[in-house]
Parts: sequence; structure tokens; C-alpha cells
Amino acid sequence: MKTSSKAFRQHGSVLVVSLLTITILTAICVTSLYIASQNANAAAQAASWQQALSGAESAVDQAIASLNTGTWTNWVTITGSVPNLQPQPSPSPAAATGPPASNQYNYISSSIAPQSAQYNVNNEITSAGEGSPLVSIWTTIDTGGLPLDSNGNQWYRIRATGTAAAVGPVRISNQRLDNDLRKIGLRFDRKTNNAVASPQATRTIEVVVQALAQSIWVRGITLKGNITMSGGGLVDSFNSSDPFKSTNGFYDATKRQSHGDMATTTSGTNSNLNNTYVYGSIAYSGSAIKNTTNVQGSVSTPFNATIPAASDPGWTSGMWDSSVSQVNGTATLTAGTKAAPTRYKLSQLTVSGGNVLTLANDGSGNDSYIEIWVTGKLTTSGSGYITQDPKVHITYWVDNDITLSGNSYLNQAGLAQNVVINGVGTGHKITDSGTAAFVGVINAPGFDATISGGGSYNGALIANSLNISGGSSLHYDEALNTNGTSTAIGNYAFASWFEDTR
Amino acid sequence: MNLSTGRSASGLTLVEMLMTMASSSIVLAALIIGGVALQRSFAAMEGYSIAQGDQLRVSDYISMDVRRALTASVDNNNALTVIIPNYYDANNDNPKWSNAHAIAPSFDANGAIKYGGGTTTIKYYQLASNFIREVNGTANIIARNVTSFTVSPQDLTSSVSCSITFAPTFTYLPGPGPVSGTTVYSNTFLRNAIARQ
Repeated sequence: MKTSSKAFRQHGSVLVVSLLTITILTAICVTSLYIASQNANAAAQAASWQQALSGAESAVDQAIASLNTGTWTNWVTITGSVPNLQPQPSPSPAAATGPPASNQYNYISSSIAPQSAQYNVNNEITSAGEGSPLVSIWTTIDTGGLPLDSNGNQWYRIRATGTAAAVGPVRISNQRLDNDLRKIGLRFDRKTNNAVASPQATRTIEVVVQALAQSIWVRGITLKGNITMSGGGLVDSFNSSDPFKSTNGFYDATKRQSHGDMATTTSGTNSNLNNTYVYGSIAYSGSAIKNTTNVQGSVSTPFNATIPAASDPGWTSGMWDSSVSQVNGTATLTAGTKAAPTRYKLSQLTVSGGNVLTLANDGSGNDSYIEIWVTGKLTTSGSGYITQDPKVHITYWVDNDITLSGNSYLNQAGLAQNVVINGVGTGHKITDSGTAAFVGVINAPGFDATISGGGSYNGALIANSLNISGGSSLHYDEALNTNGTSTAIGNYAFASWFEDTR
Repeated sequence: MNLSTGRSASGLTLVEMLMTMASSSIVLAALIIGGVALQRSFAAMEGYSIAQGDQLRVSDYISMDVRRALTASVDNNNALTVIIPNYYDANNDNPKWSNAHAIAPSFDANGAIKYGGGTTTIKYYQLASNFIREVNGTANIIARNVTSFTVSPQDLTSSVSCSITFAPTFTYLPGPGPVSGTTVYSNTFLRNAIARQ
């Protein structure tokens, strides 16, 4: 009996030890699994927070795409102020046909319209499944109470909210410091206080977009008639605002770009490139342009565009400095501010051999501005030239021939946008025959232009016809296409970016 | 018979005891080794998770604030300071849906967008082993175990590049040598500042 009793106690001890061991191991395993689950939960919530921002950013892109393209598919227009919370449109809201007026807002929810694809917006943002939680978005566009800008254009406020489901149980993150940042809605939406079906992250962006002025300098050469080239020159491009495409803002042949595009609405039978090199593309309507072998881009037809005529400024008496009625020799004209530029109305502007016309800044060190209306001819010749201080911006309106020969024109800033010459009327001529480079733009749709003499023309040209000869070249400054001088709207771009972290 | 049985039983018990002790030792050793390995694995996973959470949080905080900043600067103590506009009518240092309301945008004298008056200053810096986010003078710890914080020298008008090094939270390695900390790099574009240029 004693032996039997001892054996029983031994077996019992093993069982207790085994149970205790299994219990401890089970506790460790359960704790590990629970902590692992918590960590997965925290990671899922962090990921959802990022996905919510992606959704909101996509929604902003979609709104800008609609503003830029004028395509408002799936948008609705609602009268009234933008609500703080997600709008609840009536059952049959009015489809949006354009940007909202001052007492309206446009609204879209949950879907990404196909036209946004060209802006690289992901069309599949609303998806669900393992590792791909549901992301929903809603967006409003309104004027935000903003008045028109100085160009008379409306800026818009875009509010976009992205909401991403946080996969996992309804459980606060074990990363305690995360909760202040991510503000995951576990059981209730923190803005509406409404119950949510599953945990979610919500992020809201507010962007104000500004209307960018459309540039008329979208290509190097725009013509209404013939284009002829000869003499070994070329047409190419550079970008004065990009150090990789220019040197100190000036054209550098070693950094040549291939956007020296040209176009003509009515090419005549005399249009002939004589196999001159064109580092860009050509578009034309009318007769085919001859000898385009060395055009590095495409040659296409037709080219349909309306080229508006340049017109004189609408100045009335007293709006200009009448102390100077003409320039015919050495002179200095001093610029004013942008708000109050110095204005001159001259019967002629002639700078012949030995003379210099200095366009001086106002001494403030800031950008300064001059406007000159020449009712006669603008001429530089021989050793005479015009020199323009670096901070000076000048706009000419010239009602007769424009001749820039000899040393011609010294634009010290080297920026084409600083010299704008408008040729007004028809049947006149532009002659750039100087040996030095002319840096500027000429908008003279009624003028016949000639570039010769071996010098270069850096900027862009709009004319009736163009003849480039004598080894001269035209270098289109691509920066002109982003520094528009037109009041028409080209595109919309960010003017401010803000994330609402409430 | 009894004596015989007793002798036989006693001998078996001794052998059994020895066998039991040996086998129990093996089993217990295996259990202890397994338990330690399990705990070590758990500690490693926990350390990894905490470190990853800290790194993500710091990176996300800085990105969020730099994107909406008007300006960014760094001082000699490597403290990153970002200035953001006051977008709310109240409680700009800790806005909540219930106590802060968004202000409508307007044009300033230069034709740029502005919201309310004044600005909110947010600073990021290391304090001992803590990483601090200070909003208008109120400091909050947003990560621990930090050994260094550096803002890369650069043009702070367009982007902010930072690196933050965390000390290792799990220091066991099967081989010799110290365990390295983790360095997180972030490079954030100043969207709001660039948009206003």
C-alpha cells in the first residue's frame, strides 16, 4: 500500500508540473499574440492615415483638372455657402457646367472621373479588399469669398476630404503618442459625431488655386504668312529660368533645347527652309513648306489659330510725360514703378551712330517700368544702340517700321520678357540686322520680319512673315511660356496649401 | 514476497527517479530555452514595433507641418522651426473641431493668400532622449529613445531634409558587436511656401 501510495503521488506531481508549464507557455503565447495584434492594429491605423491623405490629394488634383479642362462630369452645383461638413445635395442636384459663382459651390463625391487620368490621378482609388481598405473622397470648390485678382480673374478654394477605413478591431492604438496625431475615428466620426461602421482615418486639405495668365509666347515663331530660312543659321530653344538649359540666363549652345517650334496659319508657295536646322516642330496651313529635311521635330498640317492684332495703348491726354516728344540721339529715360510706369509718346525713336539711349531704373533697386508709344519709326543704326538697365521692364508700341541694326539693343538683364515690342498696324517691316544679339519679344502680326546680319534673336516673334538669313539664328526662350503677359487664364496652380488638422 | 517486491520496487524507483530526473531536466531545459527564445522574440517584435511607430510618427508630424509651413529655419542647436499661418479663429496651437473654426482666405497687400492674423510657431528638437514637438511654447514628447536629430544644410525655402536616429530598443544579436540604431531620413517639400512664391 505504501509503495502504491508513493507511485500515485509521483504521477500527480508530474501532472501538476505539466499543467503549470503549459499554463505559463500558453500565457506567454496569448500575450505575444495579443501584442502582435495590437502592433498590427497600430500599423493598419498609420497606413489608413496616409491613405486618407492620398485620397484627399487625388481629390484636389481632380478639382484642378476640372478647372483646367472645363470638364465637370459628375460634379453638381449647389447654391449657398460651403458647409463645414460633407454636403447633402438634394435628390436631383443641378449638374455643374462650369466653375461656381460667388454664391455657389461645386461638389463631387466618391468617384474619380475618367478625364482625370491625364493628370495621373489613380482611377482605382475606391477599392476594397485585403491590404486595400476602402478610401472615399468628397470635394468642394468655391470662391472662398475671394475678390477677382489684379488681372480680373477668379481664384478658387478647394476643400477635399479623404476617408480611409482602418482595418482591424475597434481598438485604440498601443502607440499612445499616435492618437493625438492620427485621430482615428473608432466608433464615432469626430466631426459629425455620427456612429461609424468601422474605424476610419479622415484628413482634409484646403487649397487655394490661382489663375495663371496665358502666354501668347507658346512657341518661338508664330506667323500669318511665309517662312523662309537660309544662310546656315538655325532655330532652337533655351530656358532662361533654368540653369540646366541656359548659362546665367543666357542662351548657351551647349545646353540647346528642342522646343524651337514655329507655326504659320497661311503658308505661301515661297515658304522654304532650305534645309536649315530647326530644333523643334513646324505646323502650317496652306502650301507645304519646302526643304524641311533638317527639322528635328515633326512637320504637321493644318495649323489653325487666331492671331489677334496688336493695338495701341488707350492713353488719353495727360497720361504720358509730354516733356519728351521724340528721341533722336543720345538720351536717358528713367523708369517708374509697376503701378505708375513712366510713359512717353514719341513721334519717332532714332538712335543712330555714336548715340546711346539709356533706359535707366528708378534708383530704388526694385524692378521699374517704362512704356513708350512710338507713332513713327523705331530705329537703331551704326554704332548707336539702346541700353536697358537690368531691373527695367519696357513695353513699346510702334506704329511704323522697326529697325534694329548695328549694335542694336543691349538688354542687360538678358531676359526676353523684359523687352516687349508691339508692332501696330499692317504693311510695315521689322529688320533685325545687328551683329549683336537682340533679347526680347516682338508681337507684330501685320509686319514682315527679317533677321540677318549674323546676330541672334533670343526670345519669340509673332509676325506676318519671316525671313532668316545671313547666318542669323532665333533662340526661343521657353521661360516666356510660363511668364504670361496675357490676361486670359491658362491654368490654375496652387496659391496656398493647408491641411485642416482639427 | 513482500521483501522481494519491496526490493524490486525500490530498485525500479531509483532507476525511474534517475531517468525521470534526466528526462525532466532535458524537458525543462528545452522549455526554458524555448521560453526564453519566445520571450526574446516577443521583445524583439515589440521593440521593432515601437521603433517603427516612433519613426513613422516623427516623420509624419514633420511632413504634415512642413507642407503647410510659410517658412522653415534651423538654429545652431539643430532645432527645426516652422511657421504656419493661423487658419482658425481660436486655439490655433491645438485646434479641435469643437473649439476652432476655419477662417476664409483673403488677399494680403502683395496679392498673396492669407488667413487670420498672426502665425503659429512649431519647433522640433531633441531633449535628452526625447523628441519634442513644441507648439507656441507648449512642448509635447512625440518620440522617445532618440539619440540624434539633424536638419541637413540646404535651401530651406523649398524643402526640408531631416535625419533622426533612434537608439536600439532590442539589443540582442546572435553575433558579437554592438547593435546599431535606426536612422530615419525625411525630405519634405514646402508646398505652402512654394505656392506663395
